[in-house]
Amino acid sequence: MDYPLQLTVNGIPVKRIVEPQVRLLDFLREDLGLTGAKEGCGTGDCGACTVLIDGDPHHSCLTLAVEAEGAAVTTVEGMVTDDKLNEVQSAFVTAGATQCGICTPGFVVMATAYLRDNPNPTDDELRMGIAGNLCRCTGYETIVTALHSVIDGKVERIEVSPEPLELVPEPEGE
Amino acid sequence: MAKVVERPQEKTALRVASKPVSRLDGIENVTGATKFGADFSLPGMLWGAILRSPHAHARIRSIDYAKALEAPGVVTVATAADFDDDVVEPTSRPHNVFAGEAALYLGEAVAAVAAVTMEDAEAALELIEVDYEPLPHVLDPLRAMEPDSPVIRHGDGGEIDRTEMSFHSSVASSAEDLEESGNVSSQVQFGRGDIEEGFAEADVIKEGRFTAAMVHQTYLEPHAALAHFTPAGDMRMWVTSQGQFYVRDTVARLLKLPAHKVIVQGTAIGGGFGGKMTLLAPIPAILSKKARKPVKVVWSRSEELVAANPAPGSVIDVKIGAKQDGTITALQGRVVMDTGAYPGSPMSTATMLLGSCYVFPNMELEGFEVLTNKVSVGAYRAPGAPNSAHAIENVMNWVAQEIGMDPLDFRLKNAIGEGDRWPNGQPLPNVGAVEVLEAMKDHPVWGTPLAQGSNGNPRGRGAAIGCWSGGAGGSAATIKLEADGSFSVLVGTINLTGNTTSIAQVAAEELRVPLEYVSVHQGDTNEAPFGPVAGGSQVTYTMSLSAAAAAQDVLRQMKSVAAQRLGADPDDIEFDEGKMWAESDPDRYVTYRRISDEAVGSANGPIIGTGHGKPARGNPGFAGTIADVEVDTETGLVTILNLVGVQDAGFAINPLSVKGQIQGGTIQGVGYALLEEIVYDEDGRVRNPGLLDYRLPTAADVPDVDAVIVEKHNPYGWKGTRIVGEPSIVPPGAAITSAISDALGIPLHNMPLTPERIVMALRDAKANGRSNGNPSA
Repeated sequence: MDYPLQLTVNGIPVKRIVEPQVRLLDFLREDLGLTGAKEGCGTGDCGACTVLIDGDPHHSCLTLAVEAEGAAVTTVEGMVTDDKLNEVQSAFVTAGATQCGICTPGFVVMATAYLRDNPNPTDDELRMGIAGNLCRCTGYETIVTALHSVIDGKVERIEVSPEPLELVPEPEGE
Repeated sequence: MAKVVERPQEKTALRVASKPVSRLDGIENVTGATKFGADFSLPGMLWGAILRSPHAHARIRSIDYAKALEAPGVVTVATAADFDDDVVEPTSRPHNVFAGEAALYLGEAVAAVAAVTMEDAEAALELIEVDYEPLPHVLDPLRAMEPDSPVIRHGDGGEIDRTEMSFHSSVASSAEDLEESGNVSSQVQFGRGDIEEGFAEADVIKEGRFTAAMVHQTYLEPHAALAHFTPAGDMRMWVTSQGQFYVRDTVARLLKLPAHKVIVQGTAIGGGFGGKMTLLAPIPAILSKKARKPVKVVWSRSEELVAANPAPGSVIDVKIGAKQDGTITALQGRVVMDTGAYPGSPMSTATMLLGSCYVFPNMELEGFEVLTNKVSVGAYRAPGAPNSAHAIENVMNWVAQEIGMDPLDFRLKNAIGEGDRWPNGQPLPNVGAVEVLEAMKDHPVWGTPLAQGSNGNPRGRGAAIGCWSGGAGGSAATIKLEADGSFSVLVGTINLTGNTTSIAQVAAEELRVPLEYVSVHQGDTNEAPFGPVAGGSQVTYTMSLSAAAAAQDVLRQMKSVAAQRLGADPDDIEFDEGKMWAESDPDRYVTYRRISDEAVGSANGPIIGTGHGKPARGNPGFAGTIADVEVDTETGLVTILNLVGVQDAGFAINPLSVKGQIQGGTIQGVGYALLEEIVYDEDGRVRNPGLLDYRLPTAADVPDVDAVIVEKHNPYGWKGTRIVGEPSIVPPGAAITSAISDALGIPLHNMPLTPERIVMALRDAKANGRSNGNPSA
């Protein structure tokens, strides 16, 4: 049995016919080509597939696509606005909080939602807040450092497009 | 905090090398734009699923997949019969894509199905009829060594394939495949001096038997590969692997295709740590060759934990003798390493590394690699070294305690250095063991006594060092000068650790342009020059030399074009900041942009430089850990209070990246010490095939790591660079378990020290009337 599904994804209205057993993660990745959400475990233990559904973080591997009927889904691809990274993304880049990068989309989505709801956590609260997201490369220190810089309001949002190169002037008369 | 120990004076100030630089792929990573293995798809693509053995050991009498072929959506099925006998070696895991005569562990691949949807493929697996004859199995390596154990090896044995281990270590371990018997697939021995005399000279002798669990690399990205056998006969592949050329060569061999017709694009890799080589890639390749359609296979996390290539468990005996003044007189060691169903474990390396940090005048080491009916092990970041360090460093601390010497002073008195020999007889270059130990001694944590624990819980401190030889393979790079005076670098190495950023820094430094003028592209196996496997910590070590050589080739060509335009001698040309000029006439210059333009019409033609070579030799990297812990004696929970990671990086091209490697390696060591273990039941089934029960450290479990970079110039590396990736994981397991032992006052011999093991050890100690005493007693 196929279901008609209507939702918005990163602000864009989407209409699709889906089978009822399709996970939201597969719908986003395979049907919409939004491969930012990753499958690290498929059992809700690693957090790499985290997306926002009506603003709340969810494991898209444990959510059926049809459960998102009528909802506003935001993936990591939807976090760039005005051609600038958001504060969490910017802080990750600056602090070296991304190594291999496979866990990064989940962390960015989770931490963006967590800091919106908990703007002034203690270090312990912050670490517990992101403990549902696993990272194997960094040992978490640079991630925690990045998020503290967001909490402290020290982050300048990074432009996505590269600056033009400053060209060496040609010698006069050439 | 970088502690510069030794660095020669540079002629010109460094502009980008040695500066902390954010990863050039950072923006792609945080926006989800980076494409990993599973993110590649093709129109008309099929999905592959794998049938796995339900028995730990069984003869395969027959496989009938006729019904599966008739199932909806199914296009083809592959088994061992699809590979010619002459490409399959019975003792080589990479060449045994599917179980042939017998399945050797529960979870071994037996067949694979390609179908239109994943659901179709998985449903068809149940229609494949395999006639198994279950055979007796053995899981414990000590039991497998006994004469009456079930024997695992089938067929006539043949040459043992150690290719994957050779990527990680350039140092010959002189492993002799001595008389192999039963399930012992390999043995090694190292000797020096007179062991009995050595122990006779000792005032103190300490010994213990140490076990380390089988652990998984647990890269967060499971294996994934997409293969498309095109009508033109090209095998095009997108694979997450640490070595795209290794994948190409393996697939070309197994499918009997010319190497240039197997075109592998290594995708962005979501972690590898030694565990991502060629495991999966041949399966979509054979399915695609049979189906003549693109086929993608992505492993689940449970397939990873059951059937990938985890790090080996081991049982290691160590006995050390020393004089009262701290001089070590003798080392005896015996390593038994559980290699699982196929040979190829780091047994000989682990055995040799027992004798790698200190001068042992008398030594007797032996190692045994033992087959069991478990998954075949592979490499994990400094393979075998954490197991060795766990054993040797705990005993070192017991000896220091017994003779009443500071454990770091005891190590310094015996530390290995230039000209000293490893157990294999190789004299060492200028390693940084002493400098790492001195940096540990200087660290404020070491100088501050432990405070009282909370609620009366005991605290303890442990220190350990370790090392890794690292790879030093051949590599190559090309650099092009582009129209606007910028440069593009082409490499064939995988960006496993952010090494493309370091390569860009090297190129920018040599070409004397800002970093923004350089980009690094990783081409596929036909586009890019050969690059070594991203393992053995060798990519930055080798590729920095090749990138620098390519830059020098580019500069030579640019100087010749500039000299012609300026009417000067090429040897007289100076350059900086995107300009070249004659030394005799510094006011007239020509821009890199102009040189690019002129070159196209000149005799030189477009400017493209190549660099290739191999470091003159490897130079081992040393690392040290200091750990302070508090142990809840009621629950067995360990809290790490301080964690200091010190490492000699030679010359840190990108200190941000080096620090990240030290922090990450140290926290993986926490997993070894406290959490991680693949647990088997008596039938050979993995009991914890998911990330809820196979516990990785989370942000809430671990402290910050105070990463200290030591820089002792390595004469064989670019500007003194050494290997970086692996050494940091070697000592933390030893340091943390030693700290727990120190806190509880009892000797502890196992990794991981889970709460359960700690409570049991305390209960045993109480029953034996021992606790809160001297762990070395």
